[in-house]
Amino acid sequence: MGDATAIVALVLLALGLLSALILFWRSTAGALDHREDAVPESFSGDDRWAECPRETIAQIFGSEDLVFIRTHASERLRRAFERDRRQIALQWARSAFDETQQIMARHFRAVRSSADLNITLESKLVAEFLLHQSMCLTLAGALRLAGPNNLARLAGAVGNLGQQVGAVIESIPRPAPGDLTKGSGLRTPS
Amino acid sequence: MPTYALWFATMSFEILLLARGFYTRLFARFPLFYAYVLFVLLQSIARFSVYHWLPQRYMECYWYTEFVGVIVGCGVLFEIYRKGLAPYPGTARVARNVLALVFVAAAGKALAASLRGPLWWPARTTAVLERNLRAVQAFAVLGLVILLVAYSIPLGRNLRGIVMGYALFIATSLANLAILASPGNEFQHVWSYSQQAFYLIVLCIWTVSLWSYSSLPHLPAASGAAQPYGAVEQKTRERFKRIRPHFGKTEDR
Repeated sequence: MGDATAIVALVLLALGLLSALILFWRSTAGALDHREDAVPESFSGDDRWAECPRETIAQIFGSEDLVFIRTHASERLRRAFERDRRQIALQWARSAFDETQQIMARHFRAVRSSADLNITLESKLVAEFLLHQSMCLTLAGALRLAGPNNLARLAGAVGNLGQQVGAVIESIPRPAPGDLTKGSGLRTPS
Repeated sequence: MPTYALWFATMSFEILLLARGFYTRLFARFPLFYAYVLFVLLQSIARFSVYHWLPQRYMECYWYTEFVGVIVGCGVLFEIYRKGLAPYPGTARVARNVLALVFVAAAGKALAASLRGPLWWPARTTAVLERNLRAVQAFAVLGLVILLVAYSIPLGRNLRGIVMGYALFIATSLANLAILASPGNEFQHVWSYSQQAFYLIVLCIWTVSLWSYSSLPHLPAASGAAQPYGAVEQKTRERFKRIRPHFGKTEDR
């Protein structure tokens, strides 16, 4: 590694560490803990997706309403429609992003004390979480860039990509049920 | 003059930190951390003496003591891991794997370098050697901090201060070493002061957070610790599966 490369790498590492430190400083771990644990499982966001059924999302990304507006409404109404639909779609992507974050945070809190925590399964979950997060970010970015006319195609493309990567993650072999410590690397000395 | 002022200020803080450690008996709770602070104090005294009476040997003294300091500093990392993650065996296991990965990667890099040349580490000078060791430390601290944030590990004021201070110290040391590595940089002179000033901030963080004993926060009874890992993992996977169809192809519907 050349000196210039080393300097850039050091600076990036220092910046990464500082960013992590800011996150660490901002995380009110103790307070969040108690608040989250006080919330019963059934009220902690699991049913949020039921409020936004598949059909509604299909409607948001679909072309039927847009075709109708283009045919029957004025230019001003069409623009307002497109703007609103973009906002709704962005809001949906944002809430999907938050939802996956909450699922993972709840998981981390639940397993942090588990003595039988399995590193392989944990890595798979983290990979799945990162996949969901990146899909949401890609979708949000594409929504901003491409506009409402291409929403359906974009959502479909991102979805297909996600499903393909998801299938790859799923195909990683799981350890036998009674052998959860296998593949977890170093172990706690008994 | 500013050099002496910074020197005395840091030494005063180190003495204060150690004195408070003895007074509050935190010394017994965090022995490795206080051993590190004691080492840094002795190092400062030694450096100051050499700087004052044998200035021509100062650079040599600085790099050797700095190198030993990096090794002793690993104890702080171990202390954070040992004390902070003791009530969380699951997270401790992940942390062990992350740290093992960092050190194996570093050893692998050293081994690969030794195959290319006569040195066991690609370091031409002590400064480069320190730079490499600090980078390994930084990766280890980064991994540990990410785990602490991700798993929402409540550390308590004392340990939180140790983590904050040490991570800040490592980050500023890396920046310092990066600037030292760039030849003919006019900023080097200023930075030598700012590095000491940053260390003073680190000492302030440590002194404030370790002024008195603060117990580790206990987990609430309903924290899910009793649930087997497999069941929790399955539940999380199902939640993800429930979300996944929403990303599916919408034209087909």
